[in-house]
Amino acid sequence: MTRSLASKTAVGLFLLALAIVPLIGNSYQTRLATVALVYGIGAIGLNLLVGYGGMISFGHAAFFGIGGYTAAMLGLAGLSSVVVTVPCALFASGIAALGIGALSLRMTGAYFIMITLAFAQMLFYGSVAITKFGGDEGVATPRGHLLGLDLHNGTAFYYLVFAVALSTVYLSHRIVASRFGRVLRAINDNEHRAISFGYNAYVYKLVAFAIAGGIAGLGGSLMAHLNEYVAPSLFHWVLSGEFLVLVILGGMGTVLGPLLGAILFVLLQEILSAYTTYWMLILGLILLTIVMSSSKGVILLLKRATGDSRA
Amino acid sequence: MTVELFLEQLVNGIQLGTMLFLMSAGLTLTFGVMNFLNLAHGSFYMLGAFFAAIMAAWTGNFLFAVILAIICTLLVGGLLDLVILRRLYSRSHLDQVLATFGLLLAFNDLVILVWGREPLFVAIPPLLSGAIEILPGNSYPLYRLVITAAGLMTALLIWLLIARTRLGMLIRAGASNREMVSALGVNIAILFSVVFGLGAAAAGFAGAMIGPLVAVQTGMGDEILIIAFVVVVVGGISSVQGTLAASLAIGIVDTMGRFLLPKVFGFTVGPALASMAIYVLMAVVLLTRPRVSAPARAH
Amino acid sequence: MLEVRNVSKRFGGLVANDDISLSVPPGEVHAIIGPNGAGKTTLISQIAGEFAPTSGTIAIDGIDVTRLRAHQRAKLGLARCFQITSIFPSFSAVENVAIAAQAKRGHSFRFWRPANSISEFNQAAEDALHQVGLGDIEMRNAGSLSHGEHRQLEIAMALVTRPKLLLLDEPTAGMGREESRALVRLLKDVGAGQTIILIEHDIDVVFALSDQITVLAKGRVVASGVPEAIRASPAIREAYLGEDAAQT
Repeated sequence: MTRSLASKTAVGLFLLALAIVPLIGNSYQTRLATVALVYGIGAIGLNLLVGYGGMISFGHAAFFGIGGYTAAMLGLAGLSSVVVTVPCALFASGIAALGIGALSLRMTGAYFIMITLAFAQMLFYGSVAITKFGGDEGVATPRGHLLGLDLHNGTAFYYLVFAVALSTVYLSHRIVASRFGRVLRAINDNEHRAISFGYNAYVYKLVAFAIAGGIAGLGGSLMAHLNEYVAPSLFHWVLSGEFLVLVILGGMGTVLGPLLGAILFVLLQEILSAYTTYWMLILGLILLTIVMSSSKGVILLLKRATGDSRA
Repeated sequence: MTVELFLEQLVNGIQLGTMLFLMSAGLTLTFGVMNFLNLAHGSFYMLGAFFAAIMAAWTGNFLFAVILAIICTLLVGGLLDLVILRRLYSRSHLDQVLATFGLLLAFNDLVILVWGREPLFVAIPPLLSGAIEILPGNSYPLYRLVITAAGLMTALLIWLLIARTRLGMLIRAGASNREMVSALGVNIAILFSVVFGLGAAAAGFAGAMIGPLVAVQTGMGDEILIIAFVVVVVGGISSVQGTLAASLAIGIVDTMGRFLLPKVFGFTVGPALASMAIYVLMAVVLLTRPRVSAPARAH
Repeated sequence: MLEVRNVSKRFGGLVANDDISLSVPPGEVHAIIGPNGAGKTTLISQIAGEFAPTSGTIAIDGIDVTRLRAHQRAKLGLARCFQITSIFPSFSAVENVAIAAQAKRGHSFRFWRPANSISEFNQAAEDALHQVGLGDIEMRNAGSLSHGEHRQLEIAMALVTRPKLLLLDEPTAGMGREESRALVRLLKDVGAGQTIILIEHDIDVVFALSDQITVLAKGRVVASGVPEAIRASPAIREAYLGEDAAQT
């Protein structure tokens, strides 16, 4: 079997397995898979940013949270159709990402990481303010409906999320291969050179940041509907770190990777927390081990796994 | 709002600023000299607080406890550097961030494992528990003044070390050109370890001193770490004075914000908005500064 | 094509460029030579737009570019080959050139069509690679090419943008005799009619390619003229060997 055929088969099996989850699993497992896919959607944007654009954002949760809170606010206003809430969430978090990105991208490298973390923290406090304004610890959100189809049904909701996940993966695939994606990858490869041909690197990176933020918001709104609840924890910086872990686990720089990473992460969490309350400790050590064991860094570890010829 | 109240909050701000400086000094040093981004730096702050709390309860002598706490934090830092972190100094920022994030998660759970979930209580040492009259009719907690003074003195010591000693010269040289420094026959690995140790000790010192004023519990280093990042972004990494100035500015803005904003926005949303103040400050600094390229890192 | 007027650059107390003026008409190959530290790199960096001069103006094709940044100048027709070859190592050779070609066709905020399906860029890239002699390795990964091939690739990338002004920074650096000669032949061939600013240390290359030569020393222009005149003048010896040598 050639490598290409093998990987195509693996992808096919993976997607098939995802497609039949509600049919072979119980409602708890279906819900778990839904949560994983929603996080996966959130991570797709980050994968674009980190895996293809080389921009390490430690503030991704901020846009996930903005998406969630947008859906919640719309729900409060009586709008519970996902056809409305999800695009609005995408738009809101995309705009926010445009603003935050414009400031954060003024410094590169490690400074960028610190700044994205800081701004996400700022938005975390903002969400605390908004939530407290309502007087509670969180904001209730309706489950929502899809053009009349009530989404309280776990299976229906799962397939909605599955469809959105697949569409988002396909979209990100097109973006990566497009002219924009090529410029983004070129900037990641050699920014100085790309600029010397006339590409305004700052603007391209900013647009990538906005797209990533928008996709995160997409995920956040779905999370809001799934949980029927949003809380400042959606903005928590540990979640930002977890998104990065998802991207790494699944294979950075592959479009399906974030979904795989999310599934792995959620499964790992489930298994570990069944054994011990100190599962964060184990998770942290596993993460440390993964990073340390690849002598050339996580990027190359996963490029090798996905068959990149250069690794 | 009285002048006395204003002054009291100002001094509080300076106190927070000096604690921030102790945190940020380590970050500035490791980032400036080794281009190493350490998300687990807040864990040293937390460990310092825990060690001091435990030792104080054990021995009854707070000063002794603080000194022991610094030493223990230094040992933990040294061990980490030797066994793990040394290999990360030449790796990409992504690797550093992920690895130290893992460490941070591990440490947060580890302290629960060892010392339980309940926050530890540390008594202010009796000798320092009074209040002092800084203005007629206004008293200010003596302990807060003492730790502010201790923090400022440490800042002075660090500045002297960096600016006036041979080690400091090596540190400054290593920050701009590590190949040159090792070509001069200096063992870079040891230099890095010393720098890392200094940073860890400073953070542990801050944590140990802050114990009597806050709840010593898991995760206590996380929020202050993020604020320390803001200090690094705002203050830059090129001088001790810059870090100190930024620390004090941010400490004051944060404290004043917490004092003033709830008066304007009420106590439901006020405190949360106050928490946003320093990030707004960072945004303004970013806007007004020309764009900067950080030291390059291989992908 | 290029007008450099009274350009000075100060870095703190150090004067790297002191009142330099230069005029390059279209189609001329103009070499800038001088010993290390003469300020050649500083001057080229300012022409390219890496940083702005402390004083003076720079104009390309009649347009004042003094305040324009590097990417803006590239859009106006400036192309550059770097002293240390700079390409996109993760991409194939043909993609490298296609990326350069793509930059010249409007903006790239297009998200749907796969970039490598656009025949316009691919055709231009293939043609450019053929011109520089890399036609049969276009699918090879650029990072795996040899140093000489990197140079050729850079020239292909520069040419595909149909530049008004080409900056070549020490193109034969790190090359042996044969390779240098081959590169000179290539440059004469594909560079015919191009306006080129050439920084070079190899005097033979300079005399083989240039129509005009400017000699820099200690940040100042010490001589400027046709190759024969420069060859004969004591200025060049003085610049490279010091004042005493000029007297001998």
